[in-house]
Amino acid sequence: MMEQYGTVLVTGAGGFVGGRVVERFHLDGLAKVRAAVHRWSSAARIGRFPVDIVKLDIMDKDSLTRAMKDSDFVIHCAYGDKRVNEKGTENVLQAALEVGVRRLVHFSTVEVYGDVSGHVDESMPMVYSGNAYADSKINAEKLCAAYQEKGLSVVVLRPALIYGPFSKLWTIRIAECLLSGRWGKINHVDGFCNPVYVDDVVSAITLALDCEAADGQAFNITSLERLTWNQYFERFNDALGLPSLKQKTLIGFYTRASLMTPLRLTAKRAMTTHSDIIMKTCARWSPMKSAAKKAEALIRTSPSIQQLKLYNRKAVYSIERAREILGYSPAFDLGRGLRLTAAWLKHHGYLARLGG
Amino acid sequence: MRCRSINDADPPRIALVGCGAIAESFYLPAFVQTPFASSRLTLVDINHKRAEAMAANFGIQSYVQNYKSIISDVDGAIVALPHQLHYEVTMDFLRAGVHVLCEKPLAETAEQTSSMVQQAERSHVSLCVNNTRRLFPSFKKVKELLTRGVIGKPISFHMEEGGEYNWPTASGFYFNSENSNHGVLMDRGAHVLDLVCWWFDSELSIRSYMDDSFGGVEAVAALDFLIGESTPGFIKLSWLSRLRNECVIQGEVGTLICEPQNWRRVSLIEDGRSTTIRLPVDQRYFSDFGLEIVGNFLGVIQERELPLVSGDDVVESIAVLEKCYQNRQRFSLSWMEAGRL
Repeated sequence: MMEQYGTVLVTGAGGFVGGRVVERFHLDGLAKVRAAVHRWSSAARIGRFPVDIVKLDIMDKDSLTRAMKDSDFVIHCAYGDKRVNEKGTENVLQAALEVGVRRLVHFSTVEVYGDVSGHVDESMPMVYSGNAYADSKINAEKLCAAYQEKGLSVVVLRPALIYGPFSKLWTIRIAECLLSGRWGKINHVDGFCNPVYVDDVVSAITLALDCEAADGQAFNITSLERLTWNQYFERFNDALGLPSLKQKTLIGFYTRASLMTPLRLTAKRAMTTHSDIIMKTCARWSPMKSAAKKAEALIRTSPSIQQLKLYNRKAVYSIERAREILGYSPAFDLGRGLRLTAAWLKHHGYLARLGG
Repeated sequence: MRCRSINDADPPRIALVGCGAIAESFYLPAFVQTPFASSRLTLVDINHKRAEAMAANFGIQSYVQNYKSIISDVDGAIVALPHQLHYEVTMDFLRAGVHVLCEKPLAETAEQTSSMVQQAERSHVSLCVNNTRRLFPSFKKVKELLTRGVIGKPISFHMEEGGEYNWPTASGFYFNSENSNHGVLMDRGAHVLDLVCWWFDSELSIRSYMDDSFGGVEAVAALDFLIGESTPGFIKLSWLSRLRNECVIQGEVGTLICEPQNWRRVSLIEDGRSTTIRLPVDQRYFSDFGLEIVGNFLGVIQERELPLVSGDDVVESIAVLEKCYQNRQRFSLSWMEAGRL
C-alpha cells in the first residue's frame, strides 16, 4: 500500500497525543509510522500496532538523525523540561533540516499567549508568563521560526485543553476529582475551558502536513463549543453517570488549595530527591504505603492555586485561521467526546477502581 | 551429551544467557550474594558491551557474546532471554546435557514445552522455570487453604492485575512486532495462569479470550474460563492502567482474597467475618526471591534439591496461554475507531 504521507516520524509517541497520532495514522493507512519513544516502558500503548518503534533521546543529535532517516514528515510531540523543550526541539529542527524532510509539525500550546482574556487569535503576541512550560514553548516556537528562515517548512499547532483517552491531566485527573466526591461546581468561577477532543487535534495535524498555505504559520486548535469549566465538570460528571455535582464555594476551594500547597510542594520535593528510598520504604512498610497513597489521592483530587486561576480565565481561542487555511473542522462535540472518554475510562478500570 | 558429577567442593559452572533487566535486577544480585557462585559464572549477551558492563558492575570475570561457545563448559544455564528465544536456546543446552533454569514463560506453545520436558528427561538433566510467584508465602497459603477445603468447593475466581508498563527492558523486545505479537498475557498472564493451574489442579477451558492487539502486542487482555467443569473464572490484565489488583476466590463457605504483588498477607472471609492472615516473610523486595531461585537451581544441579518449579509443572498453563492466542478476539473499542477518516 502506498501511504499518502510516506514515512512519518512521531516524537513523543509514547505520550497522550503522540500515541493517538500513531494509532490514527496506522489505522487510517496514512503513513508508514516511525514511532519514537524516550523509554521502552512507554511503548506499551503503541506496541499494539505493527509500527516501527524506535528508542530516541532528542537530546542526542546522532540518534535523532538516524531515527529521522528517510522520513518525509516529522510530527514533534515530545516535551519535557525547559532543556528538552528548547534544546531538544532545536535538535529536532536541525536534524529535520539536514535530512530534508518535507515538513515538521511542532506541537505547542495556547499557553504561549499568557494569562489573557477575550477573543484570542494568532495575531496576539506570545507573552512570557513565568510558567516554565509555557515560556519554554515560546522559546521553542521562536526556534521554529528561525528554522523556517533557514528553509525548513514548519507548522505550529497551539491546542487548548485536549481531553480524551490517555489524557492524564484533563481526563484521568478530572475523573478522579469527580469520583472522589470532593469536587463540585465552583461558585464565582466562570472562565472558559476551550476543550478539544484528541482526535480533532490529530485531524488538525494531518491537515497541517500538506497544506501549502500553512507553511510557517501557527494555528490555535480547539472545538467550536464555548464552555465554562463548571459546564465541563458537569458534563463530564454526567458522562460518568455520577450523582449531580453539588455547588462548592470558591473560598472553600481556595482554602483547600492553600492548605494543600505545602503538602504538594513537600511531596514533589521528596519524590524529586528521595523517590528511591520512599518507594522502597513503601514496599516494605504498609502503613507508609497507605499514608503515601492517601496523600497522593488527596493531592490529586484537590485543586491547586494555579488551577483555580485557570478556571477563571475568560479567554476564547479562535480557530478561524485553522478553519480557513487548514480546512479544520472539529468533528467531536463535547457529548460525543465525553461518551468515548467515559467508555475508555471504564474499559481501563478507572471507574471501578475509584468507586464509580 | 555428558553429565558431570558435581559436589560442594566443585561448585557448578553456570552461564547466565541474556544480560537484560531481569539479569541485572534479579539474577546477578542473587549470584553476588551466593558464596562461590559468581566466581563460576559466565555472562552471555549478543550485545558484547552490555555483557561487559554487567560483568564490571557485578565483579564477574567471564563474559562472552555467543552461548554456543561455552555450551560444553558449563553445568547449568539460566536462560533470561526474550520469551520467543526460550525454546531454541533452552533446547540447545538440554541437548548438550546442561541443566536449565528458564525465565517464565518457559515457551510459547504446549508442543514446545513438552519437547523441552522430554529432552530434559532424555539428557538426564533438570529443567527448572522461574515462575517466581509460586514462592510467594501468600500464594503458598492460598494453595494450602484451598487444598484443606477451608472455603469449601470453589464457586468463582476473579483476578485483575494491571499497572502502567514499567519494566526497565534493555532491548524493548516485546515491542518489535517482527518478533512476536504476544504481550501482557504472555507476560503477566504466564504468572497468573500458572497460579490458577497450580491452585486448582484442574483443567481450564476457555469460554472467551479478548485483547486489544491490532497486529502488535496486546496491552489489555480478558479471559473468561471454566475451572474444572463448572467453576467460572475471569482474569483481566493490563499494561496500561492500574486495575483492582486483587484475586478473589469465592467458595461455598468462605472467600479468599489476595493481591498479585503482595506476598505478605491473605484475607479469609468466613461467616461474614474477615481475617487477615499475615505471613512471616524473609523477602523484602521481589528481587529477594532470586536468592531462593538461584540457590535451588544450584542445589538441583548438585542433586541436593528438586526443582521448585519444573518444566512439567507449567505444561498446562502454557497450553492455556496458547489456546488463548489461538482464539483471540479483539475488544470492541469505540474510541479507537471513532476518529477514523
